[in-house]
Amino acid sequence: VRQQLVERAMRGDEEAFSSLAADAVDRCYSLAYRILRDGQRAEDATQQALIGAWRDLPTLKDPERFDAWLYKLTVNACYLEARSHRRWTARIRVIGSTRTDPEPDVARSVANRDALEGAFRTLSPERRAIVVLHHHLGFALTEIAETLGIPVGTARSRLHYAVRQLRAVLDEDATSLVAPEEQSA
Amino acid sequence: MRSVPDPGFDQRIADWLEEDPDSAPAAVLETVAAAIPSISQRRHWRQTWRSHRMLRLAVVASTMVFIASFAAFLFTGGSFGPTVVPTSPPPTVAPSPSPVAIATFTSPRHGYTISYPNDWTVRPATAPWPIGVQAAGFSDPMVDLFKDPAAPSYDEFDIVSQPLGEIINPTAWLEAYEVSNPGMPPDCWPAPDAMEKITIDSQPAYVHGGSECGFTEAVVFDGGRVYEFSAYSQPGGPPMMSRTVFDQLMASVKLDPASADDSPPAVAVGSPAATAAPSLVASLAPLSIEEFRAQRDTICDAARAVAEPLRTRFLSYGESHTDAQLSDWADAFDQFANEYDAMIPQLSALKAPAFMGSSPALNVLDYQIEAALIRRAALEIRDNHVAAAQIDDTATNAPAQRISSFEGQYVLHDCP
Repeated sequence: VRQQLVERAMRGDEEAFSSLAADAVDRCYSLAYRILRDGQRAEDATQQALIGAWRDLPTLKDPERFDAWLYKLTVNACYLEARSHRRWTARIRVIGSTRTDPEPDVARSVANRDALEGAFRTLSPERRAIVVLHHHLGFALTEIAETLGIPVGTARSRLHYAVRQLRAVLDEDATSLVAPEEQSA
Repeated sequence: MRSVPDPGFDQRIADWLEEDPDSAPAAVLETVAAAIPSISQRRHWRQTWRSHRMLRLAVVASTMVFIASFAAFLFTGGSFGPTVVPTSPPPTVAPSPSPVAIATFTSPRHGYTISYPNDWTVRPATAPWPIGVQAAGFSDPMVDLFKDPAAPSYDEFDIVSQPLGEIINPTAWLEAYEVSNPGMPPDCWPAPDAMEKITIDSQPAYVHGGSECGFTEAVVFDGGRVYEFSAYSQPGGPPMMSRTVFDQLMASVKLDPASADDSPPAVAVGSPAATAAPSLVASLAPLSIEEFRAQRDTICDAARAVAEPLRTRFLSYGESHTDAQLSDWADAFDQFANEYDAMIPQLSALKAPAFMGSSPALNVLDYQIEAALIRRAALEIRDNHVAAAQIDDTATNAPAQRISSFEGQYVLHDCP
């Protein structure tokens, strides 16, 4: 049924594409949010990916590869979104957080999380994407390579350097990860 | 295989990523759903290879009538209809019952003349097709667009041209163009040597596509210029025109590459750009990179000084606003676009160093695209169609990213 939907959408069936988009929007947003670390930008990237999917669907060679292809479009939309200066609207966007403030008794956890957040933000979009695909979606390197259209060796080295960079940044900030009670002890 | 053998750290990353949201706000899907009806699917040579025999058979009769009629007018110089064509053997298809006259279109932008049924509509191109940019589809201002009102809305006949860049050999140009789109089916875009050869205005032309591809396209080179003539139809649907009609259209073409106009789109009379006096005028010779940087930076710094304060009046798409707020927001967008309009001619007038190639022209084109999108967003905000405005706003990301790349590549100040 899903492949039929894809084939119908490839022939210009808007209703079929709407069904596909409704099914995929959360996955795309989830991926985009984790790469971009910003809800508004993740929304923009998701919209761009889905609109791009509709526009380029007739170019999709294998309807069975729709999901992987959509992941690739989403990652590419994230690259574009991350690099765009948001030249003329950037300053109007209020960057919100979907998280609630942490409870006081989980200060260490919050500190760790914030440190990881800060370290992750130092990664390039390409490295962020590969970390998310591997550590969140559980993609093997071969799947990542296929999804991103890069050699497996490149995927491997990119993941290696991404994780190494994360650790290096975290090591540099190690003192700030110490919980307040530890600092005063 | 994990590249870093540290399960503890890997798990820590996975746990942290797990905390992020997994559901998209409803507005995302709503925006996409609202946008889809106005966005055409990409066609061109990327069409999937499909054969809908029944659909094609269903339109054979009407197509044949059209073929006969159009052939009649082309060969007689008269009109469609019950004209008897003095050829042997006599036509076997009944002529069209209603006469259809021909019209002639001369493209001021692309440099050619063509005859076509005068009940078709023509939307002349308003922008050049820059070197290095893929030919565009339905909504792009680069193409001369011909539509048959009686045909499905998807069908169109596009003509576009551009000067040849560094690649002046036709075969090399076609190969380079093909490589730029690896997704095209080989049956629909074979290697140049395997393409069908015809002549257009006595120039050798390359034809590819076909009814099964959803397009038929002829590419011809003349006077240091390449032309594309493309008839599109709905994927899997009946062709916009038969090959015979396509050939008749091609037979009526007169190429005039010397008359083509590759300059940026003209600015409307009375617009801020038209009335603004450029502070810097073009020199006769190309500037050095240092001179180019200095002059462009001066233009952009001045534009930014005017444009930046306007941003404080931009509002958020995700909130409710009063009519007065929307009006002020739209005014700010318009003023921002006006500042682009004033800046663009100044950027266009700069004689960039030759080594920059077409990059400065493409940079100007991106500003024109942004200005058009911003101005349209302003109209949509005034009409209280904020979601539509947001789509146009988001569409500025692509040209903005290219502008940023251009500025970064040549170490230029940011324009607004």
